[in-house]
Amino acid sequence: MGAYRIVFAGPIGAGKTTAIQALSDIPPISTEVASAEAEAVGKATTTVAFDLGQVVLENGDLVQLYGAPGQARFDFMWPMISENAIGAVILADNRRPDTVELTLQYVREFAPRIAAGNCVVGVGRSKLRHKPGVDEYQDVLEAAGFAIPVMEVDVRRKEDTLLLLDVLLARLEAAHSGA
Amino acid sequence: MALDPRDSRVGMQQELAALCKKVPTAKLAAVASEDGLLTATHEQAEPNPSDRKSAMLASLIALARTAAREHGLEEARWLVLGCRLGVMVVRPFGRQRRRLLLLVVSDSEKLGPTLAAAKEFALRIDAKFGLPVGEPAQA
Repeated sequence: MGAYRIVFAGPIGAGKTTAIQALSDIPPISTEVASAEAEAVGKATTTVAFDLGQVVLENGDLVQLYGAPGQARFDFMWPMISENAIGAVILADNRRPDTVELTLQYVREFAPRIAAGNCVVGVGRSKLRHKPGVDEYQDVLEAAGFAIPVMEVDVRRKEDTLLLLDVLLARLEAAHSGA
Repeated sequence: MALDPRDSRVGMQQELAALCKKVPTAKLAAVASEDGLLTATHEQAEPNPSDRKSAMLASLIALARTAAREHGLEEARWLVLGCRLGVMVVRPFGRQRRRLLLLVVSDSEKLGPTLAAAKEFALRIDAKFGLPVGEPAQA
């Protein structure tokens, strides 16, 4: 049995807290407070330190799920949260007009902090706004040198978010086996 | 009528300056929103809302609250951080709009009066600026 850390990152409102709530086997620790920018960001609350949940995998391994605060003013938390992490889920909000560029920024921030740069991008709210598609994210990331899987996700659905974790763990196994 | 945000900042800056006068060892007094946006300091200069130190304050108090709840202590009313060169006092306050008061003092000997002054400040600010934006003041 092992214990691993996976980080959820992305802009404010991308669904990091919701994803961890959906996934966690225990009531997650949350540091959400009322947002003073609620009107501007379209969200009443925001995470100011981190979210922390955990999930036990079928093989008994414990995965700690850390949610990073989205705003740049909290970037001092990002290295602390990412320390010893084996993977990062970067969540995107497809309703944002700058979502692809923003996703690339978060990948640039987090990939170097994560073991072997093991990241996956989950594109949320793609049912509300179909464009950009997954391919567009993939192209921009690849052009920037990041070979990272990109998938559509509804973070409210546990099976969707579990799939992101499975992809991260499979990539990790593949890297260890030299595949 | 609700206060204009700028009037509110200037008024708060004046209150913070008065707090610094009341606590002779005070080095800094500041108010931030609960999510770490700097509202005002004791200095007249326009503050940078995205100041990282205010964001750290918000993280610190959120973690302190979480720890307090985990220990069954309920709401965290104070956070006092004793350091080699001074003391940081953080007080969450505000009935309707939650804010954080930061008071940095150089002398840990007179913490009692410092806490009392901070509490008095919080009550006064809440009475003066506590209404949500757009909500008329009651006579």
